[in-house]
Amino acid sequence: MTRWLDKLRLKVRSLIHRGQVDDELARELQFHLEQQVEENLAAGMPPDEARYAALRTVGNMTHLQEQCRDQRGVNWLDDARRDVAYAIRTLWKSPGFAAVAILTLSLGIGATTAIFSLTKAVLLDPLPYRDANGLVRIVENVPVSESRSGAAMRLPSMNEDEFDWWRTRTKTLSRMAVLITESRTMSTRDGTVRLPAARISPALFPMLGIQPVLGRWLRPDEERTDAGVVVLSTGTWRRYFGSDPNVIDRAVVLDGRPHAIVGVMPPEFDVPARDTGLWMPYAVEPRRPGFMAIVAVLSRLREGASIEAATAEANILGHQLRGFAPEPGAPPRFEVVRLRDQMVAPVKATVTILVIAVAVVLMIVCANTANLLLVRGAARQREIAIRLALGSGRARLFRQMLTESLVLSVMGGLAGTVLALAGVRLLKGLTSVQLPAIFSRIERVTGGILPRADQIAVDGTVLAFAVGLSMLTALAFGVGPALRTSQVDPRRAGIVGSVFNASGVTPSGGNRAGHVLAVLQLAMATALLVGAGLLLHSFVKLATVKSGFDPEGVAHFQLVLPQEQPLAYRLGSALELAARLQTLPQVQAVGFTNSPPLVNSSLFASVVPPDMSDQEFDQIPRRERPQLRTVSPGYLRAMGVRLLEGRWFNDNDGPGRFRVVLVNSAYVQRYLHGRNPIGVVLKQGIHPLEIVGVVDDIRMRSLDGVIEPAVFVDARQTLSTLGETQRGPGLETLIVGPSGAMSFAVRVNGSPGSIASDLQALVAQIDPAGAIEGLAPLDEIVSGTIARPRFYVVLMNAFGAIAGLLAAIGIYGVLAYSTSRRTQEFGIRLALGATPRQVQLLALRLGVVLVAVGIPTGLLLAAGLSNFLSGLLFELTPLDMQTYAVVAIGFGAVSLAASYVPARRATRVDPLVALRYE
Amino acid sequence: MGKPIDIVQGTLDFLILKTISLEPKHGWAIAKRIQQISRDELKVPQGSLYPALHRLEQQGWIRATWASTETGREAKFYSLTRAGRAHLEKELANWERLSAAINLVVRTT
Repeated sequence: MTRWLDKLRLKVRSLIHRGQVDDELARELQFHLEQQVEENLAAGMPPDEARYAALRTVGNMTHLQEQCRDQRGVNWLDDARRDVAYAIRTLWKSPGFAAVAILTLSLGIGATTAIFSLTKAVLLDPLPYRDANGLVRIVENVPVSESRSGAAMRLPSMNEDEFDWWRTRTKTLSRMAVLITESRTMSTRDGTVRLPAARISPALFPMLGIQPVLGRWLRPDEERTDAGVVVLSTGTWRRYFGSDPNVIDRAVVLDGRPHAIVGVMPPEFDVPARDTGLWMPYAVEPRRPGFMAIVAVLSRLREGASIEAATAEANILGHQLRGFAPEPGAPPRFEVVRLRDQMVAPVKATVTILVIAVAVVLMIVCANTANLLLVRGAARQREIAIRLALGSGRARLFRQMLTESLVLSVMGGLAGTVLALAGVRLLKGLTSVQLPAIFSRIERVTGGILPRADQIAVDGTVLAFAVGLSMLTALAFGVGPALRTSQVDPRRAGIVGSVFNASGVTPSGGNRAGHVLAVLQLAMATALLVGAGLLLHSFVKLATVKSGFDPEGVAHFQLVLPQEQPLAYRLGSALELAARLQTLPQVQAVGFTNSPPLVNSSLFASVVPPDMSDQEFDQIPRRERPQLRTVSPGYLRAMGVRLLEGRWFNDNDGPGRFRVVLVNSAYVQRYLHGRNPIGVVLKQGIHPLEIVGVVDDIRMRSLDGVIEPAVFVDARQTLSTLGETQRGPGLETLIVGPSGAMSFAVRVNGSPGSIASDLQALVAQIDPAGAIEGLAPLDEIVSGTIARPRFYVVLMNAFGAIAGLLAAIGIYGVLAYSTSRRTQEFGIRLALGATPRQVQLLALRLGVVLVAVGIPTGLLLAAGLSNFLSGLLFELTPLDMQTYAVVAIGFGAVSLAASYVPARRATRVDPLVALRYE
Repeated sequence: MGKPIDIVQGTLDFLILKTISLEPKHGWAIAKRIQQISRDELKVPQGSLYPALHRLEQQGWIRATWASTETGREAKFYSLTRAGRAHLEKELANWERLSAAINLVVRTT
């Protein structure tokens, strides 16, 4: 045992104190010499002779010292240092090769590192809450038959009424909390402002365990609707309260009611979203009958309880609520899923695809570099042969070659890390999309294009990854060529000249490994290009889909008025605002509706077509019923919707007049079967509605959604139904929609933002308690809703382009090498009477073969793997022939061009020079 | 005195260990002692001695310390470690067996 320690100590000493150790050795040998001299003197030799005799017997001091040093066994470090120095010198002498290799490597390593940091932040890192693994969500698998939207759904939320019931009965969950994302109007010195807010169960605070910056959490006894307390975010505290440390217990007016500030939370407390500014206690409010509130629920597993136990209990409780027994063998109706898993589930597949894509790029990079090294190794054969002949061991040479690869790789890694830093910044920019809150997903607990994309960063782990990756790639591309190069047989290495270069008499130049690598590169690049092309094609379809409205030049915002005001009053304010906006010089058209476009809210109405009875109408499944929207007269025009027949709402329609509606062509097709729709009278309850116009189909709920039949009601006429029972959404929803606000669209000459200041002034004039929320140009909003597919398209196409470029360079390199190896052969052929064209074609043949094998292989590979993409494509099959054809022809042409350039040079051979070439 | 016999490396290690088993010695003294005891049959050249000493030190069988000789000079003295002593016992036993066996073969023919 101690022996091992002694050994280690000695080795360390040799490393660190080598000067000292060398000194000691010199002194020891000097002592020996002196003893020998003494002995000689004692034997009677004269002093000079004694010294010379002693020196002779001691022998070569330097050699002796070297031998002793050898025994110390740390020579490998010295060798390594020398290898590295030598590698750097040789690379310095071939700057072109080094530059290309390092650049290629930096692309590969940089891209992979950037994607790794993305994967780490989104998929791998734990959530920043205390014991984040214990946070779970209860997910219900709603089958088609019971679904309100007509499709099977997976809901991570529950009915408001069921929350309390569940909370008191669960044994496996220690806490349950509701999170409702909302907005609140806050009265400040500078006017009313609208803030993203949340109503949450006080239990959420201890569940996440984040301490407040000031004050305290909400208390369980404050779980009442009249609690009148609020917790601020650090952002709100800084911006509207000047970071005042005495803000606790001050009152602030929210939605017209005073609330006491009880605490301030730090930025880490980012539920339900990063920009949440206020938290208020959630309590179940009495709801209108028939109006179901779905709430997001977050829970914590009890200590020691397992997910399986929680799932089992959830199913038991759930079935008690739903009222039927669990079917044996059917998939569980309720599941308990860890919060992180539930957050990343929608993006896991696409992030995996990104990882695979970047891995392909890296492989191509390695193949490219390996090829470069092979070629270089072949060029150095003479040098290698001489060194072997002089006594260097093959192992030593192999180590040397590998060290060169390592040096290249490390430098590529350094450059790659710099690239990765830029790449990470790019990724963060691409993933941060500023959309007004209403347009983001309703069900989000920190969302965006990618969950937690703001955490993407190059930290210690990522750097370590970059280092490790550099080492691995060095091995991947270095071992093969190093082996190959050090296997040179000195006798055949061309030291003796020959007409055909030794080590390869085959017509192709003997570079079998290089050819295989080139084919692999082509195949992989083709497959990646096909994937990128499919995504691009699909995205173009999505972006150019006929939405039915024209968002350019339209400003969109929401008008929020206090809920206490009577509906009639609020409607009046909105109409007034619309009228005043119309008077602005740059405004072409203005209007409002109860439900903003591109938000997935479904408002059905029982507006029964003429030849149908109410009962028959009720038979129609939900997803096929017409949508109902309330619009002010100018809204559809402001949105740029086309009027196909009839007329818009005008001043003759109004409260008290005969009720009018507009319908879209889908409605006409579905329910009116070719009749002239103008003048047709529909029934809503007991009210007759006359169709006065037909508008173009609009994709109301999302760009990739289906066209649905729709009915548009004049806003001014909705109030006539006050006091009567409605079949369908309540009156509140008819006017202010499920978001509690009216959505305005203003068509403007010039920039949509130009109405901002006028707007604020107008609203303040009409109703000081009103607030504007989410003012943004509509085309930005539309673009924002397809931000996620755009993100993937940009990345995949970037990778595809890099891969394609590298593969083309690869084949160029192979052809260039092959041509240069065959110069004598070409020279002879030319001398024997071949035309330049014939020689060129001969040189090109290799390129054609490589492309002919590589690209179809890639196409097949893509076709085989295409299933992974099917979920991401919009109206496109993964085997879309158009895309495949474009990629095959385009990339094929590029590759052939890349092989043609060096082939052309084959004819620039002077036959005499070629024949003399050794 | 005949030509000194070339000593095989493993055997040299063994001899060195034995020589310093009684008391620590420096390199010169070790070589002299081996020459002395073997009655001038075994002369250890410096070219073999010092690499051997360093190797033995690296392997942990012997330990080195600087000390003064009788004449007052500084020299590097080598001594056995505990592991080295055990190793020496083993090598001794091996050598006995080996040489007995060789003797048998050579004498009996």
